[in-house]
Amino acid sequence: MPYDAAADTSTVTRRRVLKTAGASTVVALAGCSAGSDGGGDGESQGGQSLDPVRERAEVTVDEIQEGGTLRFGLGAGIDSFDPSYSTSAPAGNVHGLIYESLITQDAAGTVYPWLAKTWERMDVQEVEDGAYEPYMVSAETDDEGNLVADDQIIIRNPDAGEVLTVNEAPDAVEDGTYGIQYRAELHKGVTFHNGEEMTAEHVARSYEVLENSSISAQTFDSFLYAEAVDDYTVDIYGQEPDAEADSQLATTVYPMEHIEEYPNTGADPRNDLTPLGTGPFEFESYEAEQRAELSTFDDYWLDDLGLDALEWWDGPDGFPTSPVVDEVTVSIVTDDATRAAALNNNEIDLTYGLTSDTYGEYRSAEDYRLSVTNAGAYNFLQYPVTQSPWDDERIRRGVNQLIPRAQIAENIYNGYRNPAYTPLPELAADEGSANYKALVEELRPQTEQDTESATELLAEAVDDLGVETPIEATIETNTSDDRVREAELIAQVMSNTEFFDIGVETFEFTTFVQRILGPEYHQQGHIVLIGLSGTFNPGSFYDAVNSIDNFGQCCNFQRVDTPELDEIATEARFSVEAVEDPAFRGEQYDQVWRGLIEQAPNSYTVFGTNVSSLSTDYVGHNTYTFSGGILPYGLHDPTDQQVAYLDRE
Amino acid sequence: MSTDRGRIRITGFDADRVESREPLSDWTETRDTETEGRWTRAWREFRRNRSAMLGLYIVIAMSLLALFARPITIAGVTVQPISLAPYDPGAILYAQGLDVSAYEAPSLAHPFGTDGSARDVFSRVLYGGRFSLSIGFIVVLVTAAIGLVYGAVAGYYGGRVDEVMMRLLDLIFAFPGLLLALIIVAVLGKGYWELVLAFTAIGWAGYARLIRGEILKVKENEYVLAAKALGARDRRVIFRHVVPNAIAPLIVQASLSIGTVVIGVAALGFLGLGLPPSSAEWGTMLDQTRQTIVQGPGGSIPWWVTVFPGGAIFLFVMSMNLIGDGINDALDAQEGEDVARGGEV
Repeated sequence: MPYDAAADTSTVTRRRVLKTAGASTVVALAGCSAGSDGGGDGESQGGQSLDPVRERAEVTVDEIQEGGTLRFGLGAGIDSFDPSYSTSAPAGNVHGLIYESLITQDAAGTVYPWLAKTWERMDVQEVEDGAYEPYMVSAETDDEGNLVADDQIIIRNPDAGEVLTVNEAPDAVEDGTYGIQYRAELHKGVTFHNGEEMTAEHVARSYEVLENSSISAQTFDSFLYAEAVDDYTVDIYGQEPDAEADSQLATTVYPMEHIEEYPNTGADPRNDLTPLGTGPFEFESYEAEQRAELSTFDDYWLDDLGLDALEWWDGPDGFPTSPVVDEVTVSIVTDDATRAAALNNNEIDLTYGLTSDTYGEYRSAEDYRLSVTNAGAYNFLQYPVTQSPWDDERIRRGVNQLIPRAQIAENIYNGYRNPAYTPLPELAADEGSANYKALVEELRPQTEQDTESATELLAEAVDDLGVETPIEATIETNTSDDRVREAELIAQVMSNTEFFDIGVETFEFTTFVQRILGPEYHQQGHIVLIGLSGTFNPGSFYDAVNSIDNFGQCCNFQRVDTPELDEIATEARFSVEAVEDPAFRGEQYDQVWRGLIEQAPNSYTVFGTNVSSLSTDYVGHNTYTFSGGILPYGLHDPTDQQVAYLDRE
Repeated sequence: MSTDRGRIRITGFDADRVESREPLSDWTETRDTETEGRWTRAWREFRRNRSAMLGLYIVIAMSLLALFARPITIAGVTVQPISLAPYDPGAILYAQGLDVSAYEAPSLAHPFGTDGSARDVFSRVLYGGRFSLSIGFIVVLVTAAIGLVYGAVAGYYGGRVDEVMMRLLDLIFAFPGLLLALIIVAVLGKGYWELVLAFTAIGWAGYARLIRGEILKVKENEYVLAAKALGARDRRVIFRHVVPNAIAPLIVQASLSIGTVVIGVAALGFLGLGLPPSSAEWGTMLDQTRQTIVQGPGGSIPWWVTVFPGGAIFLFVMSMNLIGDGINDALDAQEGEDVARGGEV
């Protein structure tokens, strides 16, 4: 599954890697309720995380029916069939059927070994500043002054004009220079769709596919080196001690045919390069921008080994070892209303991301169901913090208290989203807070709508600054019905005070993203409203929108700079203490959230949900936490004993 | 018959017969007053056309409703204090503390219901006329004026001037109109005057070609030659003698074009390229509610959010077309009747 996430780039080295590598997706901007899979869950293996799936559908093993073709409606095109060359969260629904990773994560984010039989941290150690310098080689600079090399760069040292590439990383590791080491013992008898048998060599060399790929930035910001110890054991090294390493260091595993023969554009049927993975489905056919068809892979490893091969498995006997449907058809229908019509006309069985107006009807209709899951996502406003008067935090805090979060959740999202009184979704609460409930209680008085306090604060700031009121500004957002309504409501609530005169402007999603990522955008004084799809990693909800390292990337558009919070957030992930002591992490992150509300460079409005609408013919479906995993998770995922089947009576 | 052979006989000049027959018209020497102007006659004809008058009443009513929908303030001074619309067209009513939710069906309080953001559709439709109507009229006025001058110059001078000017026109005609408007708005950004510019940029070409054709005909008339012979300057000849006699088709075309422009504005609005999304322009309102047409299973479509703005566009454009046809008939009528009369004799 794609890591559409992990903007964990707090140190200098990471920043440099990201900046020059283009940083592709990192944390995803959510066009509507998009999201994706990825991120990490630290050390909470087997932890008691809250299930984000609302009203989870249960299936009795005896009633499961095998066979049939599941018809899935996807709301976006498939940019690439290769997870390493895709930046689209929706495409993850196809990747997840074909490809598998060393690990998997349940709906709450808990990490389980998957292609790896065991997945353990072997070592963690502090890395001194400059520890990698002795291994670096000199590199050329491009027109923009960035260091470039033919091989994947892992760490840059622009002062010396040197880089550490994948060629030098083995030397560093050999000398014991690394931050963290994981070891994967692999299952024996895992076969790829082309008949190859998976070995440690496949895993170690799969990282080669990621080199200079679409997700290289988010891979090589933490990954250092992987080597096969024996036929079924791989050691994987990270650059620094990293509390997210258990999810961040794992990779999708590719067959040698792909590693050695496929060009640097990844597997794609459009180029006659069949996607080959170890997953339960094989690629069958693809009609560009129309549909993709997949069928069961007969030699699926888990069918051969049985669920007991998974050391953590303790589910009921007879639980299916792989998805029970025979075929999956993915129909690409981008327009929400057309997709809803397709579902109503029984042309598809399952889809997600329809407009919230329709949810009530799918919930109450006899032949349909709605499956809702709290997602790792939020909508947020980002203020032009470098421009007057928005550079005054009292103005931003004032606006923050004007935002009618409860009304947004209730009136616009019909109760299918929750108000965001903290910058941290509950999904990442285990890792991201020492005590989430207490945190919400503490921050809520500053984030709940309180026109009186807001007016006081704004009056004081306006007087001090001597700015003319009403302050004129535009909220810019992407053309999605719900999002536009949200922007209009916020604009109106602000304009209802004497301090503001706010307009709304909308752009098509990709145009909008290009616009707000422009280097000059922060000087234009517009307020941005957009969605962020983070990861299971709490840091992803801080870094992407606040860290200066992500300026001009996802999702710091306004040159937000909070260096003291950056430092705490770095400590909370990239330190030995953070790796070893979850309580320390929580406390550090709590400080970050408090600081964010205080400085208010962003206002978080509502937390996202993923909502699948489906026919009752498809029984047992539950929606995954990230939209990129909705289809594969619903079909079969032993971590949550999730399986769904077709009952076409 | 043979006795008549070789005699030239002219019939119809039999004075007795002429005097005794029924008069061909009600004209008599005693009734010889000043000739009725063609515009007066056209207006009389137009008034007789019931469907055209219905269209005119509707357009006047819609214009007045739009004008008086909300107060108009210019530079801080309220020049129009009347407010027919019960609510601010942009007001999200639940944010104003009212107990109103999204998609409320039409009721006494909200005769056209409420939209997805709980705004009063009645107020929005009334107010929305301001955008569509004013853009329609402004665009047609400007384009007709440009086209008139351009076409008149090309047609009157002819020769190389005409050749060059008409090739430029061909260039403009080579672009699909709405697509060019779309590109202009995409480049300049959304907004009222951007829309006016987008439609003006292409709209004048049609008028120019039309008026040129008319002028080619009119300029051959003797009175034009006479005016020239008397030493009138070109400008005077064109605008005093040629244009007034060539303008009728342009007026017909202009009245029909208002509807086309309004549809164009609505189309751009529907494509999300017209005015900002929260504005009450009819096409934009339709775009905002497009998704409601398909509901979940068993869901009822909130028809009022699409029917009323769509109905307003329909009503206005239809009325403008009725008016256009009426004008066409009224202006053509003179010629038509003359021709018919001549044929009768």
